[in-house]
Amino acid sequence: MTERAARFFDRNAQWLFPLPAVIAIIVLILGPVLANVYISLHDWFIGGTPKFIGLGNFSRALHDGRFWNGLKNTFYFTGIAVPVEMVLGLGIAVLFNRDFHGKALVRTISLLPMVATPVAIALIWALMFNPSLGVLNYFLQSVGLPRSLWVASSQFAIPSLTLVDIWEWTPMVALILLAALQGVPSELYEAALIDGAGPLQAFRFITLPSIRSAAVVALILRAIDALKTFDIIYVITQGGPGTASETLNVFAFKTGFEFFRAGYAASLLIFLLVAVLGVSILLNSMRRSPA
Amino acid sequence: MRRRLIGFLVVAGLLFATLSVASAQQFNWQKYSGTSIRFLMDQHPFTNFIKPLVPQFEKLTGIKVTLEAYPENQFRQRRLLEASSGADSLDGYMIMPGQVGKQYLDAGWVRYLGDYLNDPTMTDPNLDLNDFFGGALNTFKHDGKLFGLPLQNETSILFYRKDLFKQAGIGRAPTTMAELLADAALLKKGNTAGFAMRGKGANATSQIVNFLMSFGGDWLNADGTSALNSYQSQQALAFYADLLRHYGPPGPTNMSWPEVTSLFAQGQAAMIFDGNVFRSIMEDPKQATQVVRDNVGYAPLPAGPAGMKPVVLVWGLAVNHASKNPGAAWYFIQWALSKANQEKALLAGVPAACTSAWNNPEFTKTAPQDWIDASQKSFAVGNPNWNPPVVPVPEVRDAYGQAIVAALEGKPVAPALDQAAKTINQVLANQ
Amino acid sequence: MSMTAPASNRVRQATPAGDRRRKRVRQVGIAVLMILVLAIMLFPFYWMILTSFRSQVANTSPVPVWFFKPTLENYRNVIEQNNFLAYTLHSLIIATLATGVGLVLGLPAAYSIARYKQNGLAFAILMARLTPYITYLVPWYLAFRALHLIDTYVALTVTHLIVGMPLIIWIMISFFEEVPRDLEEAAYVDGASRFATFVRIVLPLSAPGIVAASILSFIFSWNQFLFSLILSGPHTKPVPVAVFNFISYGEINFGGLGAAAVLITLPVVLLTLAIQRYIVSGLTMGAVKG
Repeated sequence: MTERAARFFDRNAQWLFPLPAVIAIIVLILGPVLANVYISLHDWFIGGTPKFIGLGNFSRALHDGRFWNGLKNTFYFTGIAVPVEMVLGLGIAVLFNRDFHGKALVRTISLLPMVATPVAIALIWALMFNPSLGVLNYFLQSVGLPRSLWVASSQFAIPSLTLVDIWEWTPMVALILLAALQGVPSELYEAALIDGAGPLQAFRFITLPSIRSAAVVALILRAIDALKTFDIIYVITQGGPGTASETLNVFAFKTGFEFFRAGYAASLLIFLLVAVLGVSILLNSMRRSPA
Repeated sequence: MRRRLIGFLVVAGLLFATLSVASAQQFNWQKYSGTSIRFLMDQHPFTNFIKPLVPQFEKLTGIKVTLEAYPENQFRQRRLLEASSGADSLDGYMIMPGQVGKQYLDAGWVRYLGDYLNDPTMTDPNLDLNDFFGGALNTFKHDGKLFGLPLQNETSILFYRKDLFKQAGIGRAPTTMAELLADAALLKKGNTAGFAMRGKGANATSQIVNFLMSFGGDWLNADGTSALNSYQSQQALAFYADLLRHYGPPGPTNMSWPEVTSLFAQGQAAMIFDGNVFRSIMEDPKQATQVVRDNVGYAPLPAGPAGMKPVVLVWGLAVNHASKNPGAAWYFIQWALSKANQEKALLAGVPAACTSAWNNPEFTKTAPQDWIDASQKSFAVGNPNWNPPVVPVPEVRDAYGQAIVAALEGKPVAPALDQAAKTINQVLANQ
Repeated sequence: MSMTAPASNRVRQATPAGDRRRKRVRQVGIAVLMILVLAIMLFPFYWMILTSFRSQVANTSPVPVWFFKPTLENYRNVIEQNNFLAYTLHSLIIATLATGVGLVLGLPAAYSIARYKQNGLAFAILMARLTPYITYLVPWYLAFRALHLIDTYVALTVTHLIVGMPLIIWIMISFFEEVPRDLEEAAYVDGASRFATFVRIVLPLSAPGIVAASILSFIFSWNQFLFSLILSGPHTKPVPVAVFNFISYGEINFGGLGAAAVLITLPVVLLTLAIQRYIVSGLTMGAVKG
């Protein structure tokens, strides 16, 4: 770089460094999001001509029982998956927070569920869930429990799907919490021991507060991703039976790519974005409150 | 000298002109040599059948062919996106008029073939339109004008286990709905379902419509509103739900054709009702157990109160209206559906829609007689409206599918169908 | 990263003999629990592998067929008849390109956020993660079709950036924050430009983070299904979409599906094995420090 160029760069470094990324974001992300808003203001059956209807799609959604069902299912799915992942993840982290051989192997195994191709994994789970021919029911029956309908039942469709999500992401939560646990200085525990604290109290007053910030980060990550879950639901149940497992995401996809109503689908996605934004802001505020 | 040269030239010219005109009157496979065409295909047994034969076509015509295949949902999405955008890189595609016909015809995305058929230089003289099943060919006609050729005639039939029937003391396959119910009750034992059928929402509609029609119901009233909440429709759905809830397998609401056919192939159902094209699964040692392969029987749809009213699903090939090479695309279609190829297709398990293939002794020797009978009985009276003749077909199927799921979960049939009809009427009104 | 038994484990006092026995029981119990947890994590993979070696009739059997004569036919089917190696190549190209571009764009941005505390920009990047992926589909499809870019590496690389770049930035922010300012200042005082400092001092020091971020971006691009489904074509069809080859109008070939699933997941597993140390630190750095 020439002398002058270098100096220009240095003076404006803080704008120039992020500039390419910002341009990419504007074009690739902001652009489509705004386009989505534009589409949502129209009634557009793909293959026909778009017709401007202002907020028509939005009011239609608010009066559409299927929209509320989708919203409910979205929060139902997240409401089961994320807390279970956090609690189980913490338990597993505590379990593995000790000296033993094969730590690298354990780390690798823990990573596998989250890096495996979701579509492939989902298809295998679908096979395992089959009420007549799947291996999960075989296990249930072999310990004397009755067969379950799993994802074939309106009642158990979403809980069964959360099983897949929990299987996939709990290890990641465990890894994050494990790293946090290992960062807790042992002096704290020794001091507590001297003061006469039992293991439960040590856990409550030392362990939990120390890992709080990492836990909140893991919580935010998982909550956002769980709200947006698409692959496993689409592949395993396609939102069924009926609409029992149809989250807003899946409903929007069906509306846009199977019913070909692009305008309505776009409005549904904006509702979902607002929901996700709301949740992340809410959870983020937890980060800043004092430990 | 010069006069003779001119004379010679004139005669030569005339001769040349006459010869060109004469050869232009003949059909020539090589007419479009050097062009390239692209077809969008469903991932379907026909596609698997025709793909390896494409080099033969390329050699015959000098036209380069690309067949792009996708699983059904993705195939429909892509085809719609490309057809609606007027992509000239799409020359032809597989299509089911019963599903998207109205949408594509109204929008003008398919190309009518009348001008080609009337032009002897464009149509193979061996192409015999009368050889195609009349019903199937009619699904490719609009206002009497042909817009494609059928490649498959599919209908749903009863698959049943002859050995289990014998054990239960039942003499023959059920011929009425009442018999079907009674037989299923007798055959349900332990983990073996008496009867299984699709119940997975929208996917199940193509099967239940057979029951709907046989009970006297239909998709639409004369005024174009939904007839799904008619008395006959309620009867059909109630019967179907009763049958499956009492004598069916667990979890019917999650069953589409893969689950239904696997169940039968594994010997876990005494009877199923689904597409006749799935005969290939039941006779394949890699997919069905020995006892099933040895004992599978086929029978036509049992008759309901309004008679035996099956539907037929027709797949075919059509030319994209925006194509740059419609002539070459037409050449591919008429080659792929020539008598010779259709014969081979039927032998490969694709229920081709032409009479000569079904009469082919090589075929009649290898196919089970009861399958041939059941299929042909169905074809003879088959109704092509396996979907209502409207544009927003997926939404209509979805609405009916919701009612099916509700019924299978034990909810009352009448309100569920009322809801379906209401949703459908709204969708149709918004068009 | 060494693990010493945390002091909380030592918070207990009792008689030696009973204490030893209780400790033994406890150790065995913990070992059993650990194995159970790991077994659950591995079971679906085990099932996937079993499925890939069984025939269709064995795969749909209501009683699981644990012992059988393995068949290689599914793999042969996948590789030969379904052109799977070509799809693997497509995925490889797309993931590499997307990661490469993601690094070129993302590293400077992450550095800038770390260095200049640009929280607004950080929030904007986070916004990218919040939006459901389907939101992008219709606008992108229309745009790429208008530009004749459907079924090109350009379209797929660019869209996979949406997945990879925010991830890279988010991970690297923490790593860049760890780089001691004094080193940077020293170089700056010596006359090096900011850019040179970035390239010659900061990047090498953050190598582990870069490796982690790259691998994760690669993996997530490899696994990307939705965008690839709509925007790819025969020339660029990546592996997750190819899995659906085994679901056709008259058949679901479970054996083929299993074999395809194994072949898709295998590279990811191998990559993970090779650099698991870096991935873990990359992930946890972002969480623990962030």
